[in-house]
Amino acid sequence: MILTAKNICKTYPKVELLKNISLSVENGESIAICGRSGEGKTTLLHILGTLEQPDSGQIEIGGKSLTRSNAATIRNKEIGFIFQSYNLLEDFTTLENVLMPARIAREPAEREKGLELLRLVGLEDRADFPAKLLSGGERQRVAIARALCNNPHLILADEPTGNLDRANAQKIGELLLSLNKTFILVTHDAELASLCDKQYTLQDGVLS
Amino acid sequence: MFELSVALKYLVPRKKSLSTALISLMSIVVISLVVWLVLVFLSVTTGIEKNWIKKLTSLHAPIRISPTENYYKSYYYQIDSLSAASDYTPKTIGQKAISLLSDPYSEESDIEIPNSWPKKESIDPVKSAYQVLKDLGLPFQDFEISGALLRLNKEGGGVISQMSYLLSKPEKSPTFESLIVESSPLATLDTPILLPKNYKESGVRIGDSGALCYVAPTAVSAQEQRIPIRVEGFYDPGIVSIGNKCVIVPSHITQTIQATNQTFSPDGTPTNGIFVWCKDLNKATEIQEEITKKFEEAGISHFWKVDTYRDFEFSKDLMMQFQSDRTLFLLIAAIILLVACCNVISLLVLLVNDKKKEIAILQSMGASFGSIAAIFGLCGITMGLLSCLIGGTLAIFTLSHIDGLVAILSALQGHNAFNPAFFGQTLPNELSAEALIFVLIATPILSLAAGLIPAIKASRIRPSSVLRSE
Repeated sequence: MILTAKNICKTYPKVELLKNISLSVENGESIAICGRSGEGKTTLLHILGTLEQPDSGQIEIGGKSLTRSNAATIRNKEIGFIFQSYNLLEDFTTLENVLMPARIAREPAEREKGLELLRLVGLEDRADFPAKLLSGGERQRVAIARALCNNPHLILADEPTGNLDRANAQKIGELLLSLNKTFILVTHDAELASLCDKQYTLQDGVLS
Repeated sequence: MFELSVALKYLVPRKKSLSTALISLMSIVVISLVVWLVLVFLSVTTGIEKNWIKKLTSLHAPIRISPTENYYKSYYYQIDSLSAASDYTPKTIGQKAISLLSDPYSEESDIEIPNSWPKKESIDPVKSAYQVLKDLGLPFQDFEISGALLRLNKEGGGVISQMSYLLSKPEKSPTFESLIVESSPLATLDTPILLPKNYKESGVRIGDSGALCYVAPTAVSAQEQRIPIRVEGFYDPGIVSIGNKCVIVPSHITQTIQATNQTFSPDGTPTNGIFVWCKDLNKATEIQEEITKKFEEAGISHFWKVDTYRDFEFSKDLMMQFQSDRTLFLLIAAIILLVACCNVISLLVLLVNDKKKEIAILQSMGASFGSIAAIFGLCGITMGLLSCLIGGTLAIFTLSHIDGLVAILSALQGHNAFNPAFFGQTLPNELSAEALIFVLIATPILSLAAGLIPAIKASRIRPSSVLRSE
């Protein structure tokens, strides 16, 4: 099991957003979580990705129980994030962005490794480009390469095609599914969700 | 180290964050200016103080041993006035040191000792002190200060008449020669004297003759005595308050005058004592303590007071005032530095607000709270180090061109910006190691401290809420 979440609860003032959510993800499995806006999909993804603390419940990632002290390390080694708004570091080049997780892990951030990841997403020729000069589709591909940098067990993608046109969204979807990685995908894109092994819907704080 | 590379990226000014860049620039400029000012001021003042001390310890000595009241009240000192073997005259320390008898009194030939006379000591304080100093292997010499009226006939006509202090020539001073401004040995029977350099400016020339006049009391009257003198040269007396009136004479002259007249200095400067020299002035206090300890062991410590140059009556106040001025300046510099560091805090808080999203992105990639805090702490340190570098370079440039700058300042004021009598012909231009160490330690520490508040703020950012709001 790559990820096990048990009885996750999250309440915001006056809103019980997540109610005892439990989820298990096996190695190589792809999971899509759909739902209306405001249902708590992103919150759930952030909780699973250790970016946010649940009010109650337990999470295990890669066999390690999540605590405050190991959250950053788990995030760095075990998880790769892909966001709707790409979230690249604009002051850095494409290659620097891709290799940043390795540098945070204090591992050798070799140029060749970065180029290989960029080759995988078809952007090898953009290696030394400032990230801010890339197009939306290119940025998302860089974000995917960055998410793969530390060879994580789990990829968490939050509306990865949400800001892209139809053609680019399709390319990104195909790219994600071709990675053969375990991933949890939050999306409104029914077509993309249908390509995943499992589909869940989050409604009224319950995952079904 | 990714924290450093991120910090450096954040510090590069960018068009879209002009206000941040402007505050950053202002902070660096202000800190650089403070660093520059501290380095130049401390270097120059340290150099001036070193010059003063060098002159002071060349003319006098780093360590001075002077007799206490116990010495003057002792049998050992007073017995000479009852002894025919001593011409019924109290002896100076130098004379005591070479006298064959510690007790010259003879019961057969001298008058009876009064009942109130002090008890005879079992030890010779001067010879014991000399032995201790010999054992320590330090160069030393007795000194006397006397007073006399100096009458000089100038070569071009005119007479100078001036009440003067007479200081026995410190021949064993290893650096006394460095004080000589001009001198020429004279083949004359007159006593050669060295005058302070201001006499030269008054038209006195080497070879000018005159006399030292003093009054010697006799049984029925007082007679003026004259010692013929000739000017052998001029010396730089430094900043000693009586320096311009202090004539250097051979020690037999001061001994002769002391034998007839007890000289008292109004500021309490001892008129007789022993000068002790050491190579390293920084060890003066250590040697002072060593001598005091040895005197205690020899049982003569109550006869002697051992001082270092920092305790000399005629220079103590000036040195203390100088030190106070420097401390005051450092305090002002520290306040300015604090204000500049407040600027750094403002800048980094702005930067944290500006970079909230990037901080959250870094956290999503696994950057820990410590790493995020380190980025902004490093921003502070980098600014401090950069300011140190700029300020230090400016200071080195200023010090290497200080004469030119002083000339410009003097031209602007219409008179000497720095009085040569006080500060010397040129200002010292050697970068003070102490000042450099102070700046190199204080500035980055203050900058780091300034970076701590924004660092804590940055590390408390919740990535989830920032990334969600995008």
